[in-house]
Amino acid sequence: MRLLGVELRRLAARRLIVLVLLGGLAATVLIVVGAWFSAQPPTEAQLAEAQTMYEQELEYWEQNGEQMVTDCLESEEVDSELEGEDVDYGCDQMAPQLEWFLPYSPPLEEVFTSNLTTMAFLPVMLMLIIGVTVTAAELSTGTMSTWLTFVPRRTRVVLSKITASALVAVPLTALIMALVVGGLYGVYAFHGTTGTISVGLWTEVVWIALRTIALGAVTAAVGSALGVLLRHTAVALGLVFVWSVVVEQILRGTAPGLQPYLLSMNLIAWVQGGTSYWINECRDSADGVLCEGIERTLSMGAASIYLGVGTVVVLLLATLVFRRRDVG
Amino acid sequence: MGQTDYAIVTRELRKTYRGARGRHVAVDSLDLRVPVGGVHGFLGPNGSGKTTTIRMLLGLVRADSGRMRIFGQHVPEQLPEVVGRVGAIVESPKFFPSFTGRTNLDLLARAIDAPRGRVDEVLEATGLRERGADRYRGYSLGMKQRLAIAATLLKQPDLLIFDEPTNGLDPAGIHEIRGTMRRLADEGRTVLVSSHILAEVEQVADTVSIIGRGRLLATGPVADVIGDRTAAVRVGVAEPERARQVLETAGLLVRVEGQHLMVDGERDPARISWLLGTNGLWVNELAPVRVGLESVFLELTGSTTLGADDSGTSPGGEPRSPSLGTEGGAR
Repeated sequence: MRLLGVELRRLAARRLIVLVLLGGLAATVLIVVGAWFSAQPPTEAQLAEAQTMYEQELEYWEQNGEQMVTDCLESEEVDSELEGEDVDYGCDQMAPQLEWFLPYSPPLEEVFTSNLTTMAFLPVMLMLIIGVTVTAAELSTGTMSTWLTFVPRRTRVVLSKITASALVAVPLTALIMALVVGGLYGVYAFHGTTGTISVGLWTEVVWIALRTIALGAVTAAVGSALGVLLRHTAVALGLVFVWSVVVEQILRGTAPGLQPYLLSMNLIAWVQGGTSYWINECRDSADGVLCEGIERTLSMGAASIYLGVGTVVVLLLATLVFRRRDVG
Repeated sequence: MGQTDYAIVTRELRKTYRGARGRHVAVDSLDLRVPVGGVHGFLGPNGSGKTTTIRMLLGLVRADSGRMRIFGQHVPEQLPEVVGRVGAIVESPKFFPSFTGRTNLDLLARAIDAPRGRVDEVLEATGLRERGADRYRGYSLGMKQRLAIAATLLKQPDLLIFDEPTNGLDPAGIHEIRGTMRRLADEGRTVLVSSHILAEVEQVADTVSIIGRGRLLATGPVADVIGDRTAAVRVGVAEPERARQVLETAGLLVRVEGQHLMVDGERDPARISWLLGTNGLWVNELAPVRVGLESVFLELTGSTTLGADDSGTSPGGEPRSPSLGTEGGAR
């Protein structure tokens, strides 16, 4: 516990933490500013312009709407026969609506359900940087050797550093998530466009935030382990970048069946409580090869097992390597 | 001397590194004994295995084979039990550059549960009290070295290991570090100082071990090991090549330096004068000079170069130990 306390003090004294926090705040401000513009209700000018266009469209609809619906229904019928199943072209929703001509403003509900997962990866990436640099900087600068001449029990040393990274990540991730959620709600509330947010949605938002905080802590720990293994911050972060941007994207394109085994897919499934992906299933038919898109789900439980096993493997490997490796 | 009379004992210590050019033996069957108390110089050319040996003793590097003991405790297995008695600076001081000197020491003090106020004491003892609040990156080389010494003193150690402590220091800094090492030894501690500079060790050490290519070449009191090897005689003569042959035939170790001959390990100019005179060679200069570690090293290995064919040991493969009465060097 003493070592853990020292590591937490060391982290608290590091300027990197402040820089990461400032980076997180800057990114949060950008997100909130973006939301500010999209949450704004339409201006008088936009309303007037939309009204004019709506009236023009309505006039056209009144003259031709009946024929348009008839044509639509005929197309539905023909295509249903061709496809062998009912198709729906929305012929009953063809009458023009005013909102079609207004700038699109995503409701807060949609922002919370769709965009929050993407935003959650901001603090997670920042925690990865913190975790990596905690150990890699010490190994690359040689301060680790000074430390080991005072505390030679290597397992304790590496575990204290990994644990400290994870613990520091909890309040930092929580702070950034709180600012993102609070900021988004604040700008929508300011514009009076929050709409109705159900208790269920708030509960979902809280769960996403909690899972992001947990992921932030685990990512920081894994980052520290990668720092131990690779010894240089740039190398460790470069490897993560190459893996997530290059390798995973290539695999996703060339082998869609591997999607449930991709790190990015499992991270998304964990944060948003499960996700889905599409694969093509092809079969031979009289007309040739017939392919069909099939939606598959990746549950949060499966993702948690995948991430948990991966985390344990990386931490174990880092501990074993650090116990045996020569320290310069 | 029994085991308890030695602060450090190594036996058949060996370490090899694998590199792009194959395996490199850094330390080879090293038997090192550092007596308790006083300053022990650990002398050897660059790349001779001094730092690797120190790193192995401190558990930073794993030995391939061999045994090590510090104050009778096997290391690295029992290092946690004995590390509180050992303070060490390996190569250059290494601290967090963005932290103040005091913060760096404070973290180390907390890690070993040093008593409150110990940081102030060691800052005071090393003359850094006024600069403790400054960031480490702003320290001069001398201040960095003093901070490293302050860190070693946090433990109140019985053994201090300084690896090339005066590297890069100005004369004042060197004098200060030398004085600090002497003072610590006079307080009853054991100081092991590694260096590739003969004069440095000669001025401060009581005992010395010389290594080359990872092997122990000589060990014992400074006066016995290097005292009689620090002299050479510069000879000016009209026919240097013939003079060299005459002296080498007489068993002397001779080097050519420009227009002069350097006769290593010979402290009696009269003998040289007599040898040359009896062969019809008349000297125009005969001056005793001090020699460097390289000459001592060459003399101990019986070699003429520091090259790859140098075995790093005496012909019998054993270290020459004047303290044990073994005569070393070509005479």
